[in-house]
Amino acid sequence: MSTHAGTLNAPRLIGTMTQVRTPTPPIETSATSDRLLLEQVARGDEPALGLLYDRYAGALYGVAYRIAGERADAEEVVMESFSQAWRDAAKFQSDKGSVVAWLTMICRSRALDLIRARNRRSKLTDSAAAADPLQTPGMGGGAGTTDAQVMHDERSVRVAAALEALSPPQREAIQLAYFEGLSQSEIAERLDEPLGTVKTRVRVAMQRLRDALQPYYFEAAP
Amino acid sequence: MSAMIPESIRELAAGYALGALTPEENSAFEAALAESPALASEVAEYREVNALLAHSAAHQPGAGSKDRLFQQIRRDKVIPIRSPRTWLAPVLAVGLAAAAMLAVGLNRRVGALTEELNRRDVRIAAVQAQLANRERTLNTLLAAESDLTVLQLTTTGPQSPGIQFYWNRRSNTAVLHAFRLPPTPKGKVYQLWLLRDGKPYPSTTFNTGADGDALVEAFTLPGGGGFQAAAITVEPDGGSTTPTMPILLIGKV
Repeated sequence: MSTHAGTLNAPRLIGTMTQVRTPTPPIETSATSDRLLLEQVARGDEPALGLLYDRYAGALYGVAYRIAGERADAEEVVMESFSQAWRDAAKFQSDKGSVVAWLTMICRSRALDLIRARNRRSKLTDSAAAADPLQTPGMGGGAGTTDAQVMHDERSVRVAAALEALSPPQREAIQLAYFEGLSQSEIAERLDEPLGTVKTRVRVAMQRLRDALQPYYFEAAP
Repeated sequence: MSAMIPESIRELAAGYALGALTPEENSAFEAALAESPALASEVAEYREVNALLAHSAAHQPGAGSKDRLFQQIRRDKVIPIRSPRTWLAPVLAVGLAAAAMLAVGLNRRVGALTEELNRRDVRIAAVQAQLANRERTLNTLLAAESDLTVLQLTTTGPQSPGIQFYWNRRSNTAVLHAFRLPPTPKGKVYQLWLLRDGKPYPSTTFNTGADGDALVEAFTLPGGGGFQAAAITVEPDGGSTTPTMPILLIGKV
């Protein structure tokens, strides 16, 4: 490989940087913001990670199960997602969305990576979730109802209503993109529809979901 | 700094947030995203929608899952995930697990091995995703051929922080590696600036982990190329359109 080495300037530092580590404040209430909890996680605070887990493990498990189709896999994906959050908490960028949006992105990515790896290994089998992707089974001995669960339930109702308000083709396009990880081109191929039609469908569906769900964001979008 | 974004690019925002674009569309969109806070805000909104969609079937996982999470993160403190040896661990663990199960009967062995394989599937998938990122990074470096510029942004002193900046001038993409750079204060991020004719162009924001390390892989630079220097400042979360002084690190081409 031929490289062009740029001129290496004499190193210099203009200004100063200060050490930013501060003592971890205690978690005071269940209303502690997600961002504050994640900052505490970045400083190695396990109880803060536990609180984030209590708030969002259910939602992540739901999406992981719907993608992976296996309970054990979904639980593993959730565990790996929170492990990654533990390692990468300091790299979270709040300008790119809320903490739960970041966690969801990690979880969805891991679950989709899993099914792609499975497909490569030709081990994809029929599953209960594939038969009815809107149903997610609970795990035996699952956690009881908590404040977080109630909050999730209310949001679940709103999300279900917003999805129901979409046209069936719009809903199908979102399902294929979100839960199967298909690109718009792959959706067009799967449905034997023009690519332009699918792109419009996805865009309009997401706009409608955004408009319907904006009041229920976890944190105000930047 | 905010550029006029063509409608054809803006229309990709929802697909981008869903991860449903082709690689080519993705690259074009990310180039525009780097220059448009409005576009970034739109993507952030769609990511909130993604988070809410996860609640369409929320259900708590098993009670033992949380305990297993904490067992794992404590174990990860001992075995760093970035170690190449981690890749061998699943294979060795599966082998050891299988050997141990010979003693307790065929049925139990098959059942336990299947469960173990499921777990390994998840971890292998994660490693594969990590490898894909590394491949993108490597391609950014190798595909540049003679159009690769390497800048060292350093400070004085033997243990001072520094940044290695690899710029593929052919595709106008870059890889940035920061080291010994302490995490920013709360609400702040580091931001990269490219300087051309004395004018700063905003680029990616990032932060370092507790180890002072950060790797920003294969990101697109602002359009136009021809940059003469790169610099780092500390900015509010979300980055700025004009740099906040002082400049912490700088390197010239």
